[in-house]
Amino acid sequence: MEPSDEALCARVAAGEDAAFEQLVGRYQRRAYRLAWSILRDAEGARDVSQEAFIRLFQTAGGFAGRARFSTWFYRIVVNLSVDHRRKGRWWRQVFARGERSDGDGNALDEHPAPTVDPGDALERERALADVWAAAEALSPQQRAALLLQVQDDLPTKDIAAVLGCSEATARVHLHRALSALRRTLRKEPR
Amino acid sequence: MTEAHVESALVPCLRGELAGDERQHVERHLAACASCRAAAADFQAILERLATAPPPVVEPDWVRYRAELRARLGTSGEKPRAWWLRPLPIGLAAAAAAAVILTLAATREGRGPNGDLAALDDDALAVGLDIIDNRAIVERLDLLEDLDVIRDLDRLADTREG
Repeated sequence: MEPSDEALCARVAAGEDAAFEQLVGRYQRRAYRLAWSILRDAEGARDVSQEAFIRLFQTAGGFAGRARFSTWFYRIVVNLSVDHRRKGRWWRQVFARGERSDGDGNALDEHPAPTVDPGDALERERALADVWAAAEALSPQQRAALLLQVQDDLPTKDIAAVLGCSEATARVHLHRALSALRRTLRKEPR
Repeated sequence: MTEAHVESALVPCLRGELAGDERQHVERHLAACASCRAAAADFQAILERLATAPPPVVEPDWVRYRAELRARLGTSGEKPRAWWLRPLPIGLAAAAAAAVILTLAATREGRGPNGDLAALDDDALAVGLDIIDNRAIVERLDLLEDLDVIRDLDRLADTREG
């Protein structure tokens, strides 16, 4: 039976490198995606998610076990992502906005889509791409809230804890995100 | 429809997170409000669609990612030592040592630096005197015991020089 994240974290706190490697294996992709959902920048997402693992290694003993490990760790990722955005790189944001406004398909054309089987899956894949492309226009908080829900199935109160806001605010982020996607997909007037 | 739409409660409702009165309220509203029902159905479809595939993110080469992480851990990943085990800067260490020595010395004299109100009065009196100008005399005195001599320092110095 696989050890829980919380058990692995306790072993990291006790200095067990193998437990750390296991946690990195479990969370590298999710941490990277979460950082990317906020930063929209591959280099920044790599830097921030690696830094989050370093913080995990250094402060695993600070995890009190009152929340899920994932909530605690994602909070570190979000804090570092926010710091990363705040530290400037304003030019990067400006360019990112410009890329997004160029057209709907550009970002997805540059990003390799997940492996697709030909034939029937094509239409489904296009529909998925449309939804994620529409998510590009959401705010970082809305994107992060949405990602935490669909990727990790986190309950709203945990999403609130990760984003450092109230549960009511997390509900609003999710509602606005889904409303915006719905509008975009149905081409509804705002 | 006179009741306000439930809006931000729709997603928690779809996920089964609501309980008690709130759940009943939202379910009652959905039964009566076609607009919110349609929104809930669309939200459900969008969430299901998103959950079936990860976002189209440019993922790094994970082998290289892990190598970079190990390298970064090698340079900055030491677990922080407890504060009482960390080395002090030289200046701070010297100041701390001086404070310990002074405290011990004062304790040996039977008075802490802030030990009691009388000690504070004596210290205030000494500050009021011009003892720096008469350092040679002061050095030969027991400052804490002979306040009368200290009070007359100026006169003593004049007498000696004269």
